[in-house]
Amino acid sequence: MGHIELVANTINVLLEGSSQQKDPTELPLSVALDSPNINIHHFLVAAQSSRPVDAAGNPWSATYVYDSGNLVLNMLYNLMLEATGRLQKCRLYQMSDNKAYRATVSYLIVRDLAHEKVFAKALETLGVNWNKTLPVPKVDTSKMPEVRELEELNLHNQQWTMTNEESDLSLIFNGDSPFKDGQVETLAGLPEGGAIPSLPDVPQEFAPGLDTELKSKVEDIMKSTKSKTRKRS
Amino acid sequence: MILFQKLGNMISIYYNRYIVYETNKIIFISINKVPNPIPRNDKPNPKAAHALQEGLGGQFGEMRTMMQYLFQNMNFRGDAKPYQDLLR
Repeated sequence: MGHIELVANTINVLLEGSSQQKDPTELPLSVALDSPNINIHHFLVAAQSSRPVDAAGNPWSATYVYDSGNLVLNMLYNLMLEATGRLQKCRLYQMSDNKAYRATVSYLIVRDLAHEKVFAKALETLGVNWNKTLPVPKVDTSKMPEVRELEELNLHNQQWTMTNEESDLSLIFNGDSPFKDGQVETLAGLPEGGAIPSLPDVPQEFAPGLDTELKSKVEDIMKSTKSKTRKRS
Repeated sequence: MILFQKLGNMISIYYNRYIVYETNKIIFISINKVPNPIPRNDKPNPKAAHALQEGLGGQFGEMRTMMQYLFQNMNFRGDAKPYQDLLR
């Protein structure tokens, strides 16, 4: 889920400020018609924000989801998925040097490598010997400074259990990296993370679209006495 | 999300109603952060936003990845629990 939120928030940050508040007749949303390569739906269907679609505008589809129930096959599917994701992010990296874009794409390049290792390791425990086949793609990250920085934090060799409870992840994800580039490790809990960007009103999109009366009703709710959540015993 | 996961578990249990398994690990904790900081000091770039949609909703994007692992975890069969913990 975290990666979904990361990418969606990055898209929102990239869209932030792409239109200015003006009188409607001054065409504040003319940017939406700058095709090709602008997604008009970002401005028309969403309020200058992300959508669950791909870069061609195709809606997300459950047909993408593979769960065969067969453990070996699922591990192969997952490895293929992470490798393809990383390949695409390495291509995306080469399309823009916008800072927010680069920060997220580079983070995902490193994390997708870590995930490739998880499934490669799992398949190793089941008998596969990868030799020099992986990772996909073979990238010289010395030419990608943001990726290099994250690798220096060992982010490409770490997985978190993502729980406060016990996890057997460390039984698999330990020891030599399957790509012979260090030692992999399992850490308890969650990574540090960053703040979720908060988004301002965009009146030219009529978002959130609250007039003074509605705003004062919202303020009343926010000023009301302490939250009445009942704590579970 | 947690309801969604419990629903998924219920569906699996329905098909296995003669066998009872104790598999009620909660997958999602809700923390108000993103995994990596997003710098906000650069110019807007709607074309880059358009390209990055592939990473979110594309055939090999994050939504698919999350759903794939979620269903593989919810529908997990058998005793190889370490492989289930892999799928978080």
